[in-house]
Amino acid sequence: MPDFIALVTIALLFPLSLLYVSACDRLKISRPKGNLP
Amino acid sequence: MSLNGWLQITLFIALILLLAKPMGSYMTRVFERRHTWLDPVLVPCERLLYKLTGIDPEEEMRWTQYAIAMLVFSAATLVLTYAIERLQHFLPLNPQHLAAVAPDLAFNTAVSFTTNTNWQSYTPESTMSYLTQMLGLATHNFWSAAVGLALAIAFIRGIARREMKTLGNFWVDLTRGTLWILLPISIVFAVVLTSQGVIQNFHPYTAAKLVQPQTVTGSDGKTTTVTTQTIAQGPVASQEAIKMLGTNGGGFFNANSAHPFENPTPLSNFLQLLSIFLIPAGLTVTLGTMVGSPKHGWAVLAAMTILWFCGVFVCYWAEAQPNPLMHNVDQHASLTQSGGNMEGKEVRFGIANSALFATVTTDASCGAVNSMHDSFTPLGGLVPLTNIMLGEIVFGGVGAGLYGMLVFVVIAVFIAGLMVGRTPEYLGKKIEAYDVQMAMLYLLIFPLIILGFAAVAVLMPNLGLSALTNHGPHGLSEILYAYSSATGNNGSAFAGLSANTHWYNYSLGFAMFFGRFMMIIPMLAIAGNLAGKKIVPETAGTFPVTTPLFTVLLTSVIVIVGALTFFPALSLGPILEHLLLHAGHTF
Repeated sequence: MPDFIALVTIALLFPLSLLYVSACDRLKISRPKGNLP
Repeated sequence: MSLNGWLQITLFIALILLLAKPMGSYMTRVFERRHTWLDPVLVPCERLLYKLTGIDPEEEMRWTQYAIAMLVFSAATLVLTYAIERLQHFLPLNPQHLAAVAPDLAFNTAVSFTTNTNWQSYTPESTMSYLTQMLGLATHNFWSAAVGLALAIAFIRGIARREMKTLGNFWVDLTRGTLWILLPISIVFAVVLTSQGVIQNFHPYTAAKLVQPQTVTGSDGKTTTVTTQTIAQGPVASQEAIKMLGTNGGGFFNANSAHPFENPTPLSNFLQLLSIFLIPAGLTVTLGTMVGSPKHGWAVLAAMTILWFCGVFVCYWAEAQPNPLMHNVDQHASLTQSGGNMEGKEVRFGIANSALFATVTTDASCGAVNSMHDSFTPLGGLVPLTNIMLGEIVFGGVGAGLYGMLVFVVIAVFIAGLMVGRTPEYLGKKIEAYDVQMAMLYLLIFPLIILGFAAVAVLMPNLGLSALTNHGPHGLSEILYAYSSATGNNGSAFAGLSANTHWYNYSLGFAMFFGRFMMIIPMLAIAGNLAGKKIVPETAGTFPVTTPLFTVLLTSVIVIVGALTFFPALSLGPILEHLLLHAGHTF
């Protein structure tokens, strides 16, 4: 059982990281272009 | 403080500054795939590796592809390490017949070494087999350092390139960093360490008969007579070299670089110190060369050196002070005693080299220790804690220090732009909203993880507080240090915390994971965004990033951001402990 917890944790952490990559990338696409004042 | 101590500290930094240029120039050649004298041997190895793994070395990657490749590599090596730990009792090179590592500890350790943290909640010599130490842990010392190097080079390319969408090839950077930089230096360094007495063998542990048997009373009140001592052995030198060079820090033995088999002499200590800063210092020269502004690299190196000096001065001064509670004892330095606070320090290193080591190991994300930070005076212990909380950008970890510093550079030029009322520029590239958003994400995730987990640990007596061996402000410092060390991927500890519990193994594991990857991704996003930008011609209004003014601004931004974020927590920990110590209270 503890192996199950550790492996599921590992298995969840990396897909979440990939979602985070996607979110950071999309943030740029969704922003209107323009310089800071 | 003594003249001898300051001479050694001065010699150390002088050598680092002298070595920065040749090291940086060599790394530039390696990552720009120019000719080096190791090519005849290593190019065939490199080609063979690409052929076996099906990698096209000419393929360029966008920042997202680079990040995904890094995550896939880290996930695969993490699972491999977890499996080795859990199965070590079935595997060879286990002469002590050590049992499988417990699942929560195996998870913590696998994350720890994958993220270049090397936090160790266990006693290595009684927990890990030789195979686990070599194949599971020492290999990660190479891989995680090579990943850091690759990421720093990707960030530099982001600054140097113009109107491009790509940052290079992760697999090529990883391979070249390992083959050309980490492996050759580690091999030579390991041989030098063995000349100083660092051991390298596969012998079973030695049982030595005590000349004077010791009578020991256990915590249960039972008295036993000890007649033998077990002396741990193992392949130490090969792990020690990359432990320091790769700013990993995980010791073969529990006492780490305070153990005489890991760090036997003052010379081995000095070389270990040099190896921690060697690559991070060189990377500033690589930065200057690759972006076409060598002076910018020197300006960044100057900021790092200023912050390093402030840390080592305070730490050395604090540790050289007499203990105020022992005012009736002679504590002055003399020919027969070190003076100051020698608790938790090795006599062969003394106060100067212990303070220097503590400062250097936490400036970088190394985490190796040659003295026990938990035994430092409150202000002496404040220095390593603060170094970690500043983000370990003072030279910093291999690669991680430079890209962390460059995020601060982005913030510094942004603030400079705000002050003069124009769009900030960095080496001809406009710093826009997205860059600042990602930089702020990078900077905010760090304290959020540290303070969030520390707050939860403090609020839960059964989980967080029960592991403490000291209470009051020192106990808070221990918890703060643990989460700072984990999130900053440092790995050193205020060792009064008994962290091998389910709560600490998992929560510190999460802190290490998020502290590594959740910060790398916004950093790569900035690099990817910068790579696509045009170069704007320099004008009279451009803020130069090559001058002493820039160095002062950068240093100030780092100190102010660090101070504003962590000062309240520090004031309840080491600062309060210092004040209470002078009022006669200890913890």
